[in-house]
Amino acid sequence: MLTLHPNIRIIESVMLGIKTRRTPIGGDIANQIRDAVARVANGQLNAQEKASVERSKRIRSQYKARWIGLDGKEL
Amino acid sequence: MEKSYNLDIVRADNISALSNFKCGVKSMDDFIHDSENGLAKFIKLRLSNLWLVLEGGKAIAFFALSKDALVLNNEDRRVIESKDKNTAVLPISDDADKFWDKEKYPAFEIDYLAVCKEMRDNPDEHIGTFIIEEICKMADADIFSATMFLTVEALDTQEYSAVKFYQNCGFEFSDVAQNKYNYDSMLGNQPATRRMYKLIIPIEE
Repeated sequence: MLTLHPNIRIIESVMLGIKTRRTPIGGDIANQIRDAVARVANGQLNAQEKASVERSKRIRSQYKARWIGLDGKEL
Repeated sequence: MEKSYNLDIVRADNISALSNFKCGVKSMDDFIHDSENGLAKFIKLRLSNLWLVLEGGKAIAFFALSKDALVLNNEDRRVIESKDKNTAVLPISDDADKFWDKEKYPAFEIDYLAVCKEMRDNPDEHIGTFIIEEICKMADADIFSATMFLTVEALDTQEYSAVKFYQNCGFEFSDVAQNKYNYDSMLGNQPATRRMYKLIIPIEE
């Protein structure tokens, strides 16, 4: 049995078929997440995200990968 | 000139290919090779899907994934909206309600990720970063469901911290820092971790 700090609000919920006892994300962090989702949905990436996309492209160009399933076939 | 790699990322239903695998982080290596309660158990119980990263048939890394979600508390909407009314990015139109009403954003969780010691010793290889990128690419291309985030519980102990690596890969904290020792006392002897998320940005190849 877990002993939890009384000030920590733990909600047991079922999400995507998985039970969780994690605290829902609130406040500024949740707001940042909503903002990020909205930026991507609206195609308004900030400078940091644009730099991240460029870095992703650079890293991806260095490697080639094939994904292969349990049946041995390429996905 | 940068070296280029051809890798196979192969689904595995057991950890036999990892019998000689060492990442150099003792707690992780112990976990990988603990046949009773370690990685093998999680894969056997199908709690996580194991993927081996092979170069020339040799496992140079592995990772394991499961489903997750970022669950947001929207009870403080009014406070946030009044505080950020001049800077908020959220659209003012009807779309704003859609983002506020959405409490759960679907994600893939990286349950485990380890790169072999030889590759880790050469930071120019960026194999771990590439794995993150590949997971993002596959998650974005998922035909069954929308996947908007990667999540991870990044190991953050005195022996080793993965936090910097994940930050370099674009992950942000999704929890408020807690004293590791409080965390220990609250939840038993679980290893100290920081919960982090990364927004998946669709990238046109």
